[in-house]
Amino acid sequence: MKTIKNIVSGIQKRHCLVGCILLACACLQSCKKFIEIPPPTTQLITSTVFSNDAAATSAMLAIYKLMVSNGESLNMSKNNGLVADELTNYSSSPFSLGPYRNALNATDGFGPWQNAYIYIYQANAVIEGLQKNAGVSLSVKQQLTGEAKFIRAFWHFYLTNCYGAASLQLTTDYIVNEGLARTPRMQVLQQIITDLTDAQQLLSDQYVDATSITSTPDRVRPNKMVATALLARAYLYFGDYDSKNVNDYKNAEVASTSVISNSQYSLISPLTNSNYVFNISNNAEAIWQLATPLPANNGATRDGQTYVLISKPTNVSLSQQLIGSFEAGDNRKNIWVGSFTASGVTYSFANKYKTRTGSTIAEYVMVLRLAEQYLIRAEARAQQGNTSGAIADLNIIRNRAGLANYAGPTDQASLLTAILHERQVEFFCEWGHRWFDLNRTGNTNSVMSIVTPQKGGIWSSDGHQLLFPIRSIQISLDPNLSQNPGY
Amino acid sequence: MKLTAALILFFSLASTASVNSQQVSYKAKNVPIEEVFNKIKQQTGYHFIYNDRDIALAKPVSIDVKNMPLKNALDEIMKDQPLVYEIKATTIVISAKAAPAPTIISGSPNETPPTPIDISGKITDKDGNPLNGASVKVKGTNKGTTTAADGVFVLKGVEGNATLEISFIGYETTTVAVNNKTSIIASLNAAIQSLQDVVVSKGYYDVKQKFNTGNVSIVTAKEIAEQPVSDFIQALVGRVTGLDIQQSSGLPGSYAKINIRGFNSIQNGNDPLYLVDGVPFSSVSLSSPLASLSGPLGIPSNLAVSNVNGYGGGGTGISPFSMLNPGDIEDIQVLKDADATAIYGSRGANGVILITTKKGKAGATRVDFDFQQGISQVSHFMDLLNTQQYLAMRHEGFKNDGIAFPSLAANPGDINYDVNGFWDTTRYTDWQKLLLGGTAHYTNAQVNISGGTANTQFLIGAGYNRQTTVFPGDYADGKGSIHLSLTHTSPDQKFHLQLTAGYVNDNNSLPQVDLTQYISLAPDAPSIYKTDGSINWQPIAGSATFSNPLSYLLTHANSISNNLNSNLNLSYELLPGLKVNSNIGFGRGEMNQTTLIPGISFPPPTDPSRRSAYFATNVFQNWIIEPKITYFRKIAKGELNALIGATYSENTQNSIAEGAFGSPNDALINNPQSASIFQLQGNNNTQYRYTAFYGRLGYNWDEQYLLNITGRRDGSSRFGPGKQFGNFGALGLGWIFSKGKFVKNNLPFLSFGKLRGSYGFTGNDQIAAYQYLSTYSSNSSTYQGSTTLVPASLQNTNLAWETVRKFEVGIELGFLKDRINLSASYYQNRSGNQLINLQLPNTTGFGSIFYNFPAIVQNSGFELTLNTINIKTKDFSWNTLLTFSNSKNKLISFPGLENSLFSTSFVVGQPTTLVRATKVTGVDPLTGNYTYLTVNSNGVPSYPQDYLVSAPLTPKYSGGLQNKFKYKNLQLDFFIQFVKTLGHSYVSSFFYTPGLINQNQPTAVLARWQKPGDITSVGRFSSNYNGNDPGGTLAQSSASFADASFLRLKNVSLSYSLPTIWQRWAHLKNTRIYLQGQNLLTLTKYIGLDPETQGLGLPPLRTITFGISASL
Repeated sequence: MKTIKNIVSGIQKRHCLVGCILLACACLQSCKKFIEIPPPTTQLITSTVFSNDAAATSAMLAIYKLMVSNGESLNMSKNNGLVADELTNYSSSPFSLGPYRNALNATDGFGPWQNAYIYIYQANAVIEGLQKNAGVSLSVKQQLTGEAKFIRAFWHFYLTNCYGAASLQLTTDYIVNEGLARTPRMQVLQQIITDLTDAQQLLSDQYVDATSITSTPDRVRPNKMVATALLARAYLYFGDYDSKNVNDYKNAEVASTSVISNSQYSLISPLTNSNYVFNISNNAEAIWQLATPLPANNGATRDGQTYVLISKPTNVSLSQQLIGSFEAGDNRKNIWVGSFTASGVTYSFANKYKTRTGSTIAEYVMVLRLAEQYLIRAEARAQQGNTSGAIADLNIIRNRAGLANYAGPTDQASLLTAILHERQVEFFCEWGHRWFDLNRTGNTNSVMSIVTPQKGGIWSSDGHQLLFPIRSIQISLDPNLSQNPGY
Repeated sequence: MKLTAALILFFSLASTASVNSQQVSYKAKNVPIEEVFNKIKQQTGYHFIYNDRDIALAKPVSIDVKNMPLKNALDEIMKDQPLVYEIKATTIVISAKAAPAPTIISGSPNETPPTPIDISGKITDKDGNPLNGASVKVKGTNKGTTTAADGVFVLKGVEGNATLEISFIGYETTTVAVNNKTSIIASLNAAIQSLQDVVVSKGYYDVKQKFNTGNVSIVTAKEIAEQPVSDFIQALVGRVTGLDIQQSSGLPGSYAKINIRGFNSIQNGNDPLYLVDGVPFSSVSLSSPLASLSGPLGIPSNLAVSNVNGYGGGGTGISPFSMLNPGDIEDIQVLKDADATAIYGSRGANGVILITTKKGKAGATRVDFDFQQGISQVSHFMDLLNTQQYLAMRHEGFKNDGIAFPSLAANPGDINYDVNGFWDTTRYTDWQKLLLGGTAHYTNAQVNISGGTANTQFLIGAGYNRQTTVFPGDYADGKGSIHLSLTHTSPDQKFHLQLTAGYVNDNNSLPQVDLTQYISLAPDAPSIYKTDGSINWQPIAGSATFSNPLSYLLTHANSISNNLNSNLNLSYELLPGLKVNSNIGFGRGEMNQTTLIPGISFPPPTDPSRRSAYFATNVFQNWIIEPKITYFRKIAKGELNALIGATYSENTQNSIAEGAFGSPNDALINNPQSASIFQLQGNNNTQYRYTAFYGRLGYNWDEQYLLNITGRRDGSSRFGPGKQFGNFGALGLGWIFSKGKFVKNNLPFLSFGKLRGSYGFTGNDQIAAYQYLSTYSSNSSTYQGSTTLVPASLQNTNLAWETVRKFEVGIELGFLKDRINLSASYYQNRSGNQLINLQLPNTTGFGSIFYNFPAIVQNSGFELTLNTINIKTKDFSWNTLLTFSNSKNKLISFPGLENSLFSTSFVVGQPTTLVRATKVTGVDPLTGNYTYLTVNSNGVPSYPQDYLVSAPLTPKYSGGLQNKFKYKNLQLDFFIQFVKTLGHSYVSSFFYTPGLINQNQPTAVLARWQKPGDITSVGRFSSNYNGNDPGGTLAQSSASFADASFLRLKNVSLSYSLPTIWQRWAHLKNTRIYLQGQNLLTLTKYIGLDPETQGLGLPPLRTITFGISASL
């Protein structure tokens, strides 16, 4: 009896053992399979994105969308407007008071350092994604690569003008990018010119829609002329920093001429309250605009939302220096400057964008427009000694504003001063032109040594305030990165 | 006889100190009885008294007993002897049988045995509560029965001179002589369970604390119940060594930062693994990660929940633990060392917290209820400047800056409304009182119905908890829960089933921001209400002149969560010692959030488009199946325990968030249909799968030498192909040296002594899913009518486990019959292959990337727990518990640190949790500006060379002291928590430059520099941001840290058990009324609302409740 019991229990034991081993094997076998999970449903694998036209285009369009939703136009114009002589500050926030008083610090940093590299990364990702993957049609591939190179140039341009030497981000490889050193300004500008020249080759002549092929009247994607227009500006700046090399100005003149002579573009003239350059989306003066992404909570541009006053300012208004620099009878002061009176005090504000709030979309963000090309060419001509040509271009802008022809002295210096002044009243509150103009023409010290004390700050003679500080955390994250002197 | 008595007295006095286990293990054949007595004396410490003449009659003894209670062993020894024994205290008196016992075998039928009688009786506890299932046995026979639900038993045919032996688990066994009585009522005294006999669960297996080779701490339901908290985590503060809990806010539902034994991971998750009845419980809040939905509790981080350097004002979303009802918890076990955690493999690196819910007990159906109500208030306000002092500060600031004092009359554009004449400077508002001075109400109710038979038990519980806030306005966190437990064992005891399920509904409603941040408003700021009761913006030309905190009281951040946690455990004993078992768990948590920002909450000019509402739904679901086989067998003098098992587990999380804007009317804001724009804000679906194969081998030799081996191979879908699997394991050893002869003979005061040690590997996989993929995610808004795609992550296929090597040695000692228990351990954990969410410089276009870094971080520390029974008499007892933990974090090695991105943030040999800061040397007596220690002479610090100070913000040491006093029906417990740590000081961390516009300051700033020559540590007042700090680095300087150590009377509980007579009259049992207080008193030098939460966030509230609990 006992033996039988033993045998039975022995069998049971053996069964159990076998069972256990089988179980163990099954577990090990299925483990690997079990933890293989599909890619996330809410995301696309990068290689999938760049294997069809629509998805690849979506990756490019995301950059424009992000630039609008981040309010880059406003950021740039407000930042530079505060540090320059363009805006008066009404905010008690240290992040407004610091730049206003030209008292920037390294802890907080200042400017587009962070965002610019996000856009450049996305542009590089488009360039590389299209290169590595097949499936996107050739024309779309060219158009998107051109746009990406343009965006890379565009943001490197703002970086170098804000920080001087900037890091050149030319790849998506973070191992390379996390250790980038800063490249001298001239090399950055050179890279910008190279990218823009490439873009000119790649981009379509027309403005394209979301197919990246079909043309559209919306001027919200870069085309060949957009690249050319920025190239004209890049050559102008290059000349200024390249010991005023005439060849650079010549290049600037060539580029701006090709934009000016393009039949797609003409100045909106005369300026009226209904025809004010920024009002319609498809106007002939626009070279490149940014469309409002949809759906939009507020259809107004961020610039309009911030600058237009309907109460006493809590943020910014236009400075007395700017208001005082308009000549009598300048339509730009009538059309592009608004005013609000409270307790007997009148506050002037930038009214280029009229809409402060509203669900209908009446305005797109203007990035590049024809008037600048005339003034680029005027300046390039003046630098090359072509006085009459320069005055002719200058007068086109003056006349459009309802002003008489330029009647001042015609020596080169006076002419350049006149052009600088014209740019001040033409481009105020647009992408920070004034600050960059003062810097590249060497006029910052003379202007700011007067203005900064009026703003409650101290202008230092060492000139360190010309460049913005990079946030100190960035210096700590990238050992090869150096801070601008004085911060 | 007198002599005997004297001897007994003498010996009992002499032997009181020597107490040992009352169990006997002995194997011998035909040995003299004296030898047996000696052996028993050695093992138990009991002395024998006998007369040689009596002993001479004794027969040689053959015995084979193992862990047999002394009494039983003596019975065994004496059964064939002409001797009887009697135990008096610790002395055993042996004497010859007075009269030869009637020999039943030889008894002739003529001989009349004593007349059997029928006995009925009742067994109760000391308080008169009937004991169900108590065993009543006729001593020396097999005859016996168990009591019924009402404690009643009937025994038929018992001899009149018999003795009844009554025993019940958890009670001291007692004997009652029948003496021909037919009715017997007996009461049992609750046994004092030695701490060493507590059974600890190590998840997959249980072991008595005595035989535990690892480090496991337990907090029981009783300790949780003594504290008026709605989140059980808060009840653990200071009670478990090595467990650091830092409450982030006093708001209901706020999350605490929790970590066990320091920060193993430099930048990654340091959260313990939580299991509720074996089912993983997510430690990540279900709050939406979108900023637009963040209420005052902040948003949960995607990755690391326990952020080292985060402080103040919350920031982790609603605590996931608010979805558990503390009243449903039976106990919480905290597993710390490798021996205890390695069986959890890649999830065990940061320790494991096992939560066991309440189960029914066999017995009469009982209803327990508990109701408490109380109030909470902010326990400490800051000393802030009054209007007069404030205005003087502003004046002085302008004067110091050389700026003319602002005047609206002179300069209509001026914005210094607090001083320029626009605001009424005679006003004074105590913003702390106005915003935080309210009284919050606390209500907690719990009803449990339980009972069952010996084979099937059940428990059904329902709970309700509601807490309001101290803010003005109608905000509250309300929670309702039900809990169910069913246990069944087959009559043959082979099949066992346990089902538990808990469901909690939590409704948390708070304003959109923590109003505490507004206590720094200028004291002369305008009234928040207009005379008509509407919100006052004190506008100038249509623009608001201050941000009115009332506007946030018009906003709402509501979160409604539902959580189901269920678990089914089945086991079957195939063969003696061999069991198959399967644990099947399912959990689902769901949170619906609504954030409403009505137009009325915005300052003028009015803009209807800003009127917005956000809606988010987040669903977390997980299931787990864990089959396992366990085997138990006695081998030689030892016991072998083995188990193997597997785990399959999956988590899915789906979240979606929408925004509705431009509703035409505030009244319609909650209806997205009324909005002009309805937009998807975010949408996220993740899946995580985890599988493992694990085993354990435990061996216990003669209850003296302990061995425990655990291992696990597991795989996680969070890692890329080829990196998914890892192997983990641990070895634990223990030696109970008090079992040895030396201790027994020479150290009689030592009742228990154990040395233990463990070493092993665990892993950490706490990163978000899909990190190894390079992906694009789509954005809901369109450009040119096309959706847009944004890069979501950088590709990194080499992601792998973080590995933690844990080493621990410990000693556990019991003195004087375990009246004093001391447990001390030293641990050293080294974590390598650091999985770092590396912050990338902006130039990469990305914020961060995960990768494994070859850095090694060491966490080491010393932990001590001391339990003492200071006084124990019939009426009065006094127990003390002291816990102490210290921990040190150190970066051991970091190959290539100099050339890495961390070269400026970490130093080998220093803690990784440190914050680098500049060194403030004082205030310049000439200028009143802060001065720094700098390498170059300009005095302006630059990064990194002047960041010389290392400030670790983790506690240096911490602990708790608990005292329990019991006098008759009265019980008083109080618990003191102490923490020694550095924190963020008010200087620049949460108050800016004193003298700045519309920014009040602590009165401590009055010690400022005023005129050249002043020597002080507080810089001059200035109307400029950083006006007294030319370098602008004060916020990252040594001045921004301060000693945030504190000693807190965390909990006091006073309870009174109503006299039994009253209870009988009211038909109640176990009736107790109590008074509880939480966060009653805090001693600290810290300047701020609270040293624990720091910053301008709502501090932990002082709560006082009154309650009653009883059973039917």
